Amino acid sequence: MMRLTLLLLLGLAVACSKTDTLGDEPPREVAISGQPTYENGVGELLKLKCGYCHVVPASDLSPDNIVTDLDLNQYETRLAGTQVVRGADSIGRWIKEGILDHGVNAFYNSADARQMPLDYGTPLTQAEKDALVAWSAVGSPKNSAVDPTGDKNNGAGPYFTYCVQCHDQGQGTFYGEQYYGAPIRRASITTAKVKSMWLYRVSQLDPAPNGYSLQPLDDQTAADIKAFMLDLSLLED
Amino acid sequence: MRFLALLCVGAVLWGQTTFQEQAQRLMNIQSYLLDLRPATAPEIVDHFQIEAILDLYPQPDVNARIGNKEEALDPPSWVPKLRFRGFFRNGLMIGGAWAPGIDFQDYRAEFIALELGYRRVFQSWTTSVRASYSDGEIEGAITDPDFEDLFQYKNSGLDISVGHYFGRAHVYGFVGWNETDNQLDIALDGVHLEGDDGTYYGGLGVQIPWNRWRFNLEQNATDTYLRNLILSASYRFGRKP
Repeated sequence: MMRLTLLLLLGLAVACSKTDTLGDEPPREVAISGQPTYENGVGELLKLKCGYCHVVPASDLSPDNIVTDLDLNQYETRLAGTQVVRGADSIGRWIKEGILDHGVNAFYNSADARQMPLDYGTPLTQAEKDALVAWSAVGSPKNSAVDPTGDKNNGAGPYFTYCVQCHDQGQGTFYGEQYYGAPIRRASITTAKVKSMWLYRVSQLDPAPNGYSLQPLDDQTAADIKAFMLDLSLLED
Repeated sequence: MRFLALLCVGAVLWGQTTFQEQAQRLMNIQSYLLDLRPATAPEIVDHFQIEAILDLYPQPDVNARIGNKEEALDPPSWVPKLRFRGFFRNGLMIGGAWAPGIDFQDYRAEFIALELGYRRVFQSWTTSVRASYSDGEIEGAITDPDFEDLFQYKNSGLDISVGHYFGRAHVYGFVGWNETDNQLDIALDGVHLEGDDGTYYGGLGVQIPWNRWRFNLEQNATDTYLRNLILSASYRFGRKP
């Protein structure tokens, strides 16, 4: 009996209980070389660390109170029936307002957003955050293609119809301490961003004034509006 | 290699893990720890016996970090389980455990577990093949101390065991495959996680008989994520041979 007891004690001494939960593992990183664009790393990054929740229609992983019109698995803001689904081309200002570091409630009539990614999501590395901030600062481009040249005279009409009410001369407008329309950063004006905001704005107006309808803006008109905006007097640098 | 990859494309995915992988791993570990897994020695009987078994699981430390969040999961350091087995003289073994709803440390758990095996002697070796199934759920603070989440799991396993007597000590080893299907409903945000996975498992153990009692020590392991120790004490009912 003594030998058996010793055998059991020996077994206990060498036995172990431990787990490998991956809890100490660093987050996966999307390394981006060169200028970040949606097609150069940012899209992959957004899909990996944002798009599992921010998808339309919402996934099982999407929190109950998530915005329902944001899909970060695509670049362009698009129409789904009569619903405007914002894409990655719409998030530049949120990044500028610091949503990667803290919650943001800077926008009037918009849900207060928590810091992204949420605590239990896959964290962004510092290099990834830097890439997203750099991408936002240059207008959240899809790729390195140059925007078409526009005629600012043709852009004035659409701008004064749809944009000036909120963005004024580029300095934005405020409702209390929140943006009614955010200031416009000169370096961030791109035709893609104009097209994204246009669709979003037109969807808020019913009926659309001046014969405009809820349709995506064509590239040339977007370029015209961009050309006009670059001449605004109070743009943010 | 990473440097070469960088030269070829603009963006490279590397590094370690995502929250989905961490969550799946945590669910797998909890599913396995809640299972009816100890194989115990493939002892053969020459008359029908029923065995009542109390298993004690020293709970391993679990690093419950997901992303930047430390999950609130706080299992007790020792988990007891009571189960029963019936042994037939033709080598069949059936077993089961059932908990209709037990409360412990602010958690509420219920589960059912079944196993069916066949045992046979080959000269001085004892052998067993066994299939097992368990299905259970736990309600409680899994991701946040202020909310009651719901964790559900199903395990299906198949394993073989080989044992040999060294004096009175019945030493054995086993290997098997386990399929896990689990789900977690997070009350705080309404998030629903689910996944299925499979793992090899195996282990070594020793069983010491003493009259109608059996004392069993088993080191159990999955292929990647868990090493766990199981101590069992059992009592055999039935006529003495």
